[in-house]
Amino acid sequence: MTPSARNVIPFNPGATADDLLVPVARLRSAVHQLDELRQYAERVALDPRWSAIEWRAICSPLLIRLPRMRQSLADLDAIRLGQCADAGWAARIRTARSEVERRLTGIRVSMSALTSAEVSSTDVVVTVSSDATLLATALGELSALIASRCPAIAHDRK
Amino acid sequence: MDDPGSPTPPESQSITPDGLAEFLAQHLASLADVLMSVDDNPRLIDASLEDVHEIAARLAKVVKRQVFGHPDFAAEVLHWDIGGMFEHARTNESDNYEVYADDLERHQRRQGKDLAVADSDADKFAIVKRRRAYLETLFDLNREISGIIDILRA
Repeated sequence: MTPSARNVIPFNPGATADDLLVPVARLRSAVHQLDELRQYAERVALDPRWSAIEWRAICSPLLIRLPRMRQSLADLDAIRLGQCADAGWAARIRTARSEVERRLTGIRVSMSALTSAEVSSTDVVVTVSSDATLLATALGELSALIASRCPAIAHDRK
Repeated sequence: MDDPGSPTPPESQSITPDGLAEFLAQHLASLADVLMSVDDNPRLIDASLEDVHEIAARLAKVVKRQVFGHPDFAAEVLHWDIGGMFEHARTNESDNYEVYADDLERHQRRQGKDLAVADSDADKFAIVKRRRAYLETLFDLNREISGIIDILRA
């Protein structure tokens, strides 16, 4: 992509502030948090550890961001079918949001099993790694979906 | 959930059949949007089930009140024996929603408990059947209301 092409913001006539149902600033914050959390989840997935201390070190950044992530997901609850001009987008957002919630619960459970043991068993390490991968995928999909309706946010992500 | 559209057309006593048809068509568009949005991927309806039911129930309520509750229009549509079919579609949607919502909730609870694959697959298969049955009731309701709109426009 040429530098001038990178400066072009795609025109999306369907997405006005009213259509989005959530203020753009909150959507931008949600996308930022989703992308940040995805990076930490990917790190957990790609860099398995074997001692509880090492796991705590790598999982902590992810765990401390969970409450703010939950708040951002709560903000997205305003996007609903019957309220949004683009029903397809609203349905996909709700599905992706629900998937992120499910994966967050999964990673919390597997991480708590992991960090409570002195030495991690292979099974537990594989489970955490797999849950982190699934979480990273779910976070990436939700973030991309939000950005797809909001050119300014899509531009920020590049 | 807030009602984004007014359930009562302006001056409902003096509204013409065309005016009522137009009003219903606007409401029906919400349901048609839902059906189109989940057409490629019916699983999308799971996370929005409550909203979808809300849209369908609100639409059915508007039809019941504005068409079957209006002496002139009720006589017109009853002449075509459409009242019974509409009522059947309305109750079918409501009944199937109840069963689907219960099964979905149970499935999500069991999923959270990390069931064995066999149990989980059995759950999934039950959900697929419930989802399909519920979608059929939405298409039926959509068809019945479209028929009422056609009669009002004729």
